[in-house]
Amino acid sequence: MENNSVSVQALQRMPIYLEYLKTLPSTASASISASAIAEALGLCHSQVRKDLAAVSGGGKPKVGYIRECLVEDMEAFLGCTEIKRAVVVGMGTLGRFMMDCDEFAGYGMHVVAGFEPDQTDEENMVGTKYVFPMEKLRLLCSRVKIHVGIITVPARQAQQVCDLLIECGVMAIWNFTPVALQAPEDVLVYNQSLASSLSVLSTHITRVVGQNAV
Amino acid sequence: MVKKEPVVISIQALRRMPYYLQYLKGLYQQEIKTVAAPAMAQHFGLNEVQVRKDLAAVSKVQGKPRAGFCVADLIRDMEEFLGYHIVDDAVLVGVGLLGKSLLSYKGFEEYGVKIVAAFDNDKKLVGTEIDNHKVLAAGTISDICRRLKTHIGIIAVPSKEAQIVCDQLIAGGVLAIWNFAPVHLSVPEHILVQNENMAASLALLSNHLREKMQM
Repeated sequence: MENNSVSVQALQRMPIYLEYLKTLPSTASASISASAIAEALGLCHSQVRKDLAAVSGGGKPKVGYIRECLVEDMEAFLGCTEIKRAVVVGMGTLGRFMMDCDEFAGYGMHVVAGFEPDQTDEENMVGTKYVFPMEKLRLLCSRVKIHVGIITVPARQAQQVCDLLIECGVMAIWNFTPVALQAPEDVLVYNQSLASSLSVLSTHITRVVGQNAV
Repeated sequence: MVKKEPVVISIQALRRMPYYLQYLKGLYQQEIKTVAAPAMAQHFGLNEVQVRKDLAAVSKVQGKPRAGFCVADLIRDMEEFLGYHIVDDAVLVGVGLLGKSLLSYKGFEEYGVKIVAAFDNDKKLVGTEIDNHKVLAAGTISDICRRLKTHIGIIAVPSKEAQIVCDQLIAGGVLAIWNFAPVHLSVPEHILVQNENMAASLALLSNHLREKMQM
């Protein structure tokens, strides 16, 4: 199915639907309507209807979707069934979390190894996965296709790491640093800027508390 | 009484600020003294007018024609604008894998946020200590938030518990929620919810890769 027509916003809502559908009790009805989902999630009905229609052709008037089929269609749409291999670069708190997180596997992403620019030892472990010094990245990438590079290094190292990952053939970068990474057009850089979120939160507090103080 | 109107700035602009700040700090380290909006716009691949507007919202002085802004002053003004100098207290709910990693993350204080208490509903975890934070019983969220006058609540619980936790935080007087659960939270109008939905990021990455892999 063509999915170029779906907006980034719609794509980002999909995991929310998926999570909701999967956490419904097994005793719940086998079918579910777009309006019921919209109601439960507090989202706009027509938006949910449109989103679901983009993913699954199985919706019937009055009845809705068969829950199991909708989950399957959505997983297929999101590419959950295709394996994507990832490496994590930077073994700080966040990097270690990314190494251990099993939730990613539900979306078909498997972290195969970690790398640490400041590592002097030959190898190390986080959980069940190996951590290698940076020099080993090329070698690993020449042996197995790595699709995603997760960057959790300090800001000053981010661009260099990004360049190396792209050289090694990585097609998408998940960037946790507050650095605007420069990358060729065909490589997707997705910024998960925790710093940006903290700025939004902090500024909101300052504003609200400031107003109350007047 | 004349109230000073706060500068109106969009959430999108706020989200760009840490990137500007990182870039400016890089310039500062290279001992570059001034920076102009057009140069910054080019570096970030952004519209010049937008960058100019963003900088004008935070800078206390106007940029000089041609020369632009003093890098050191701009860094200071931006940090002040973002409230990095005033530390806001936050509580964290859910000390699973993600919660633990957020608790031991040292970078937050740099951005003006400090986690002062952690909660969980797992009896085995309550009373234990994680990176100098004692884990408290989830039943006490509202009480303790009220007592500590905490303004920020961080939600790192499984999605089916997120709305309940969110309601408890708001009942305790929290004004802003940082939500890591992949759910849509319903909140009153004056509450800000910042979603950090990793699953949504994965969906985008996955989708991009599928298109690439088909080529």
